[in-house]
Amino acid sequence: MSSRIRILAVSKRFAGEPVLTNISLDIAPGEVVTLIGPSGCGKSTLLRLLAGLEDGHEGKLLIDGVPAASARNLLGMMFQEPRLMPWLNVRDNALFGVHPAARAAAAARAHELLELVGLGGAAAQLPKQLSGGMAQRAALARALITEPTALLLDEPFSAVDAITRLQLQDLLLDTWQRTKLTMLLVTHDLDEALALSDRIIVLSGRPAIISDVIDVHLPRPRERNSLDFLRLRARLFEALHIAKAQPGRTADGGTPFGV
Amino acid sequence: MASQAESIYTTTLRSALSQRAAVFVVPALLLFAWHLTTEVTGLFRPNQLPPPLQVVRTAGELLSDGDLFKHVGASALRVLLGFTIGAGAALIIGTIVGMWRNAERALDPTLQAIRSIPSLAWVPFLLLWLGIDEAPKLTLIAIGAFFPVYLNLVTGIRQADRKLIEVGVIFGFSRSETIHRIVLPAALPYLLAGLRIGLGQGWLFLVAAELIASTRGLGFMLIDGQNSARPDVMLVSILLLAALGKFSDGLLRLVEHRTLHWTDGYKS
Ligand SMILES: Nc1ncnc2c1ncn2[C@@H]1O[C@H](COP(=O)(O)OP(=O)(O)O)[C@@H](O)[C@H]1O
Ligand SMILES: [Mg+2]
Repeated sequence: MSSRIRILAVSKRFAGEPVLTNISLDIAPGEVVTLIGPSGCGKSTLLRLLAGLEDGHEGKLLIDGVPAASARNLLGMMFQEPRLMPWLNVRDNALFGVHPAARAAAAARAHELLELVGLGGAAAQLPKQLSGGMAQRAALARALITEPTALLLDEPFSAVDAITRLQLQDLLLDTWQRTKLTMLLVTHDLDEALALSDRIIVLSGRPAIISDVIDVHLPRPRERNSLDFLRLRARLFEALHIAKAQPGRTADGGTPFGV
Repeated sequence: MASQAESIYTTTLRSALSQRAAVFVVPALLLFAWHLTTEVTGLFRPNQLPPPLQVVRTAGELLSDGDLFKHVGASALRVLLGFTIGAGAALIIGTIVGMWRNAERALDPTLQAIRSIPSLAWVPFLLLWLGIDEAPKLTLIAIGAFFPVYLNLVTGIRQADRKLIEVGVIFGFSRSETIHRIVLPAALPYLLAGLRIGLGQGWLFLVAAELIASTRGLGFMLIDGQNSARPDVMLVSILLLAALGKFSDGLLRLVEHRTLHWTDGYKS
């Protein structure tokens, strides 16, 4: 089971200041779509709107035709930080989204998920004992426990080292191949975007608009040194370069890539 | 290799033992100085500061005629009840004030004003309103325990990480689920610190209550000792207050140790 996500002419302002204008995006069930673009251009905001962490937008956010606000149980989310409850061990963190009354029934599933993300032996450990990569594995198990039909991933691997990042990308790909979940991913990593996505959406400007779309029709798992991969990489790099050069519509003329 | 390992073991054992022993150095020195200035040199007269052995003897007498047990029991029960009431109220009101801005606006200024009333100022009114039995004493202790718990809990709730609360939003938690599954556990280190201070305040306010109107308890023993010119009885009372305060704080420290093992702080 996977969901269709439709974003219809969505705009969002913070304190009167427009951040997103008229963004439309249709994500098919089981599709993996990546948002890429300068820091501060509104990628997280779009995911947070879908997850119900921000409100007060114009336009429509639909999950399987239902307003996102009433379809929250269909979504799972991962953040840049693991956001584990520090007082719960890995197992209880994985079970965090399960209602206490249903915990017993979900215990077997939690066990299975922890095995799957490679934390079978760490179930009793506390978050403070985990490496960054292990913590994100636990966060993935937690996101999957409620059997969501779509995953929102906001730079989930940007805070771990390069080797761990490759392992986590493989894990995510395995998860996708098993579940065929719809995924909306935010990343700054070009190779990550190209290795995982069916489609890459380049956002730019302020307020942000969709400035480019790159389809990635390559079989998975993808050979990162293949000519096709490298060709798409050059294309994506070009698109980001243009996005960076675009002055946007900032009143103060600030650089969109500035941090 | 083996002997090296063994020597490391014996040094750590020795240092563990000496760490234990270090705890007793200052009390032993104080006891010795007390003995020296009373029994040995007579620097202090027995009607000012009775020697340690006499205090021990007095304690033994009080123990054998059942008085000691009666007074300790009365005081401990008062602190336990008053602290439970005060801390319980603080838990409820602190959670409400911490979670709802409107509740904070409505309640916090008044509570802060009440907090600034010195404890002894309550006594005449509590006696007037509640008589001289247990009720005014328990109320006074509850007031003493309330504020540290309340203030720490509100601070703890305020600093609970918004990022963790958002995880609850993703899972569609209700307000009450958010409170008891995220906010209160996150505030637990603050709450426990508040409980420890609150319990200390409870003992403080107990003595204030018992000094003024009571027929039992360690505060009464103190006043009774004063009235009957028995500094040894007064000292027994003072030492017991010290021991009980330390003991009850030790119990809470144990709870703290057991429940906060997940924190990642310095020396935790
Ligand atoms: N809660 C908020 N209040 C005010 N401004 C915000 C808030 N959240 C984000 N913004 C602003 O909106 C813009 C987009 O933020 P964000 O979506 O986090 O960007 P990205 O994830 O693409 O780096 C930024 O300029 C940021 O400062
Ligand atoms: Mg972001």
